[in-house]
Amino acid sequence: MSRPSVTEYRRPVSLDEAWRHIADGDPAVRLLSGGSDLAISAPPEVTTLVDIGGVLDADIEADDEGSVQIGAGATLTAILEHPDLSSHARGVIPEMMVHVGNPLLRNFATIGGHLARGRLSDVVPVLIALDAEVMLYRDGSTARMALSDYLTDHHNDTPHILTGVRLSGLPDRSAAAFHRISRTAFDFPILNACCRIDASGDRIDQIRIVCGATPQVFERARQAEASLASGGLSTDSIREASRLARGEIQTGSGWVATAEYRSHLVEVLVTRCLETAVERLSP
Amino acid sequence: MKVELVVNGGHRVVRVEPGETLLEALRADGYTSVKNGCANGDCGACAVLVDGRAAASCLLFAAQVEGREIITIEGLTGADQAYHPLQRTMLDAGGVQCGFCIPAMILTAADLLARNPEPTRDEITSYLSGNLCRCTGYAKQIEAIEMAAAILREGGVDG
Amino acid sequence: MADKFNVVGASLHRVDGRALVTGKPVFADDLPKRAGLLHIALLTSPHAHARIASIDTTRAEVMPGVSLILDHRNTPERRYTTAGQGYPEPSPYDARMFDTKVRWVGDRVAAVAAASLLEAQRAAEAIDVEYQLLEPVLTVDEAIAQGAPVIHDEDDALDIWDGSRNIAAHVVATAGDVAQGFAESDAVVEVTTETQYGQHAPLEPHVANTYLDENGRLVIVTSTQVPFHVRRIIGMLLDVPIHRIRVIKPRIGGGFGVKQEVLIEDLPALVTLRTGLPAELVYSRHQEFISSRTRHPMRIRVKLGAKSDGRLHAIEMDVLSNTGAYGAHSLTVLSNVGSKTLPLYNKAPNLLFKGDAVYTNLPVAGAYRGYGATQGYFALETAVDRLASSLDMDPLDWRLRNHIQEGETSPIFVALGEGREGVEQTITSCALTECIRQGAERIGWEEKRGKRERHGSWVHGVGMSVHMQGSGIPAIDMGAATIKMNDNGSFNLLIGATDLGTGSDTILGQIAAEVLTVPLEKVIVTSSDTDITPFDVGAYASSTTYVSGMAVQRAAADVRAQILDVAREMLGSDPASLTLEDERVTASNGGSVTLDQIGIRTLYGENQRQIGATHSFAPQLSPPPFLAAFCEVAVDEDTGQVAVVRFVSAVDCGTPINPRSAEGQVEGAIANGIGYALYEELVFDAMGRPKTTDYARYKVPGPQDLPRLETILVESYEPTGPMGAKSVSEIGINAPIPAIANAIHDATGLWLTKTPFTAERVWRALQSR
Repeated sequence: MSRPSVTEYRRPVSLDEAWRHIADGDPAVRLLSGGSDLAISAPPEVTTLVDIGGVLDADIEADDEGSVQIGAGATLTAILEHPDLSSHARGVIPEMMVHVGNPLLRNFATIGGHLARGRLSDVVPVLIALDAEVMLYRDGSTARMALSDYLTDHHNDTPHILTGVRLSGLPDRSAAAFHRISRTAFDFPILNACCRIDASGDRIDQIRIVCGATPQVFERARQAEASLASGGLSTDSIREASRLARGEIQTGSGWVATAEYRSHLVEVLVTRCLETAVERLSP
Repeated sequence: MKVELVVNGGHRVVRVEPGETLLEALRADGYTSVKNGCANGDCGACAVLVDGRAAASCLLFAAQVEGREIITIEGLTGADQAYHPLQRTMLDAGGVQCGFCIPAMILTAADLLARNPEPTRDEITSYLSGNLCRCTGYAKQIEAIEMAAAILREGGVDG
Repeated sequence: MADKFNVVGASLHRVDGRALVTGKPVFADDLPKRAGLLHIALLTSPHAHARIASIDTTRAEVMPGVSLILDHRNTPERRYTTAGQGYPEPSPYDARMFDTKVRWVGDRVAAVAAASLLEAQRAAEAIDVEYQLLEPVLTVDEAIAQGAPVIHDEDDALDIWDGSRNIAAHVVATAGDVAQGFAESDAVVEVTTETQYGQHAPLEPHVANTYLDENGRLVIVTSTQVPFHVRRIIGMLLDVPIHRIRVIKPRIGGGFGVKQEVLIEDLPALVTLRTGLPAELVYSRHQEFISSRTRHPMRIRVKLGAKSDGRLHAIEMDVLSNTGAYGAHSLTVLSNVGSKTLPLYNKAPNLLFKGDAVYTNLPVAGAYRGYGATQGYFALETAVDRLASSLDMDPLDWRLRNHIQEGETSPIFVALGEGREGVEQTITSCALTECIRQGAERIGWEEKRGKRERHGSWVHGVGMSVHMQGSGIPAIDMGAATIKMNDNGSFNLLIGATDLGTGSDTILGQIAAEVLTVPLEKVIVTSSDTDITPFDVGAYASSTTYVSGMAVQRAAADVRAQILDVAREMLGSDPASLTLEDERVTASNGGSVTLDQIGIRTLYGENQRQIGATHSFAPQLSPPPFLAAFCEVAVDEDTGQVAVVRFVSAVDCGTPINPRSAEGQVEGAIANGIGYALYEELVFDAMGRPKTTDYARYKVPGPQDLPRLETILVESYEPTGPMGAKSVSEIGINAPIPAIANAIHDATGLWLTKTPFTAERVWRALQSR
């Protein structure tokens, strides 16, 4: 039987009740939302599942300024199909999401569950490039924090429930693009990249160049970003930024791919992302 | 624990362990059409419909889907064992070899066609991307889905 | 040819189709669980090479639910082979049920039978084993080097070629004089290729259930390709007379060779014999990857010499095969590398084939669709392209000039059998030339070859390869069929032949229906039950259509003759004037009787008898099917990714009994071959421990990874085959590696010699171009 060590299954009816189950930080107690990693890989010390599928907000709502609030209970399929997210940053979200797992997984996996894992991901680099924030519930109150901070510093922190993801509104001329390389289509990424460009007139307001599956969950190529911001969006500037990204992104070797090949892919994918983003910027 | 599963329109109260997956609960309850190909979320042979959407039943705990509508291939087969168009076209096109992937493949395709009645070949392969088949190379299964989509668009129910 | 038939040549629904599309419980793990069922968990070795210094099951024995624990101390010591082959099996007897030595990570250490799987697993974890570690041998080069650790140092193994050098099998076959041949050649090329460990990964794992029936006989219900071999081998291993064993094959969820093995049946069988209780072993996916069988990784050197007009003059093929920890199929797969490839280019009078199958402390390689030909064709068909290139010839023209034709033979047929001398044969049907022509036209060979069409960073190329396989093993295989007639003019067809999803029940039914002039649904097919169905070697070596099919045809012809005899009685007609058509026998004078009238009369009326017949077929020939494959690839020069844009297979399998079924067999084989060419690889660490133990890490192609596979059935008529048919199940899997490799060369100029052609590997090759 799949998780024989699990002896208790709890279904709280409120966030507060869910919080009380995990408040003491017992590693034997785990939160469960959507279709789940826990069903196949919960370690033997996990004895209690707390199913918050019923208490998490699953809605996706945009406001007038174009910012989008995504409930942590929203499935990856709901995110893939939502019209407000489809157009955000000129389509980068469905562009990425169609590669994440497969429909059987996406139909029930939740964004909250996915981000709480903090591992190999195609979703994370895109959310980082979009400056996503996460909402964390603790003991009656909700705090907001940058996703980048959450994943870097706070992921394994004191008990919390991830309740939502927020994407800020973007200026009119803002586009992002995502690319990934894997073996077969349904496979972990060997490397992925997401780039976002906010421009007004000739000025570049924001650049994000993010790589993932390096195998780190994400890394920003800040030198590359700075170079592009000052160099503009010409072919030469893009080439230079990609080259810098290759130099600064740390890649690792594994049995699927070597660090050298991954670094090469950084340059290739960043180039492709930037070129696509530039194309999407033009009216 | 006792969990009420709604399978193929019938309410069944089953005893499950808290850590038992929907795949295990369904097979133990006699729905052996739901296959265990890997129990790891990788092959799709365990797919069922939950509230109309295809799901890998090895990735859901039985308790998670209490009260939700679960459909297995037994629920797709019509009264008097009449074929759903996908069952017929899968045989017509030659998309069935060993048959182990077939119940899941058909259910996933049924989900696709319910929300996209005229899918392109790419849309079909994308929606079926989690359903592995080691026997057919997919060509005739995709053809079967295209044929069934046409039948369903024309209003045929019996194929 | 096919249009002269009524049932044969039609793409009818499979006879088991309804059960499969409605999800009926027809697979081994779906069948109702018997009361008292014991579940079996295995303890397998964490080490690649070790002696079991001690094993202590005392803690485990007293754990809840535990009924019986098996290990080397309480199980038979006799050596045998797990290879599902005819007797005497041409594989070394180097295995024990539980040995005192473990030879790969995944090798058996102990088995626990308990009331639930969880209890069995918990008890298995409580078995204390002390290992004396031995140095693992993880490459063939290490294995055959001087002073290498000896993997099979037991003194009671049989038929190991040279255990002291870790050589399980050795083969040599020659014709003419290759040295002279190369000296006389105007162009000589040499290539060495390497193929990797691959696993069949059928969706259904190995499953075996056993119980004692009401008369105390052992019944084994198992997902197997070889029910009769299972019966014999289990009987021998567990010392049970064959008449006290029944083996039943239910529906199988794929095999591809991994179930041509007596892999797990012995365990539940022994548990049942010792406890009297039913027992079941269901392999997990993890166990499928680490403790079953694989394809033989091989290094193959091919040297070709040709005259300036292109005519092949000398071939040398040298094979180093990694057979893993045990020698099942080691000799026969090795032989097939040559026997299924070299006759294809029979123009060369000078041939040398040699090879060794070598033990390593890695997973056991066994039977896998293609059976050595897959590896061999990589070397041969890429060498052919290189040779053609060096002669400035279109490789298509070169192949047209050199491939074997109807009426021709090759010395290899007799020089390379399966573990013994082969049989001479002449090709009696070959539409390969037409396959090449049609395939080339379909892919656009002339238009695309050498053009290197570009789309962004993707460059396109086309490549081809041609193949032959076999239809069963001549002088060794045998299949039989029994047909009996029922009251209403329907028939029972009992066949030992094993449908593993291949559709053999259906096509064998079609053959019978054709001869007896009834619709397919009036032939009730029962297969693969050793108590009920006559003998058949089982599903391997592409034997079923040809071997079992011929037995069916013979039995049906006999039954047809009996029907006519009865009709003669009933109509009082002169012998020559009766025809059977559309379930009715008509006399030339106008009188007629229907099959159901004949049925009623023979069972209840006058001169009652059971109309029926049993016939066998033991072929002396193995008429090869032929295949010409054409592939268009796109290579991303920035990333090294290879996409298969189109794959066209033009196949000659004689008369296709069920065309969609034949196409389906080809397409499935092509898909598997593409996976093996591009993505699939079992990977191990430096201690021989496996890393690729699930479908997440071992990537088989999904629907997005393959183009719409195109199959052209080019008919020939095999006079020795049923309705002119030959077999078709394996041949497709040999095409993708060479066709893709040759297409990559067309696109990029690269000659790749190592599979899988991963993106990184291709990228690196592009860098050093």
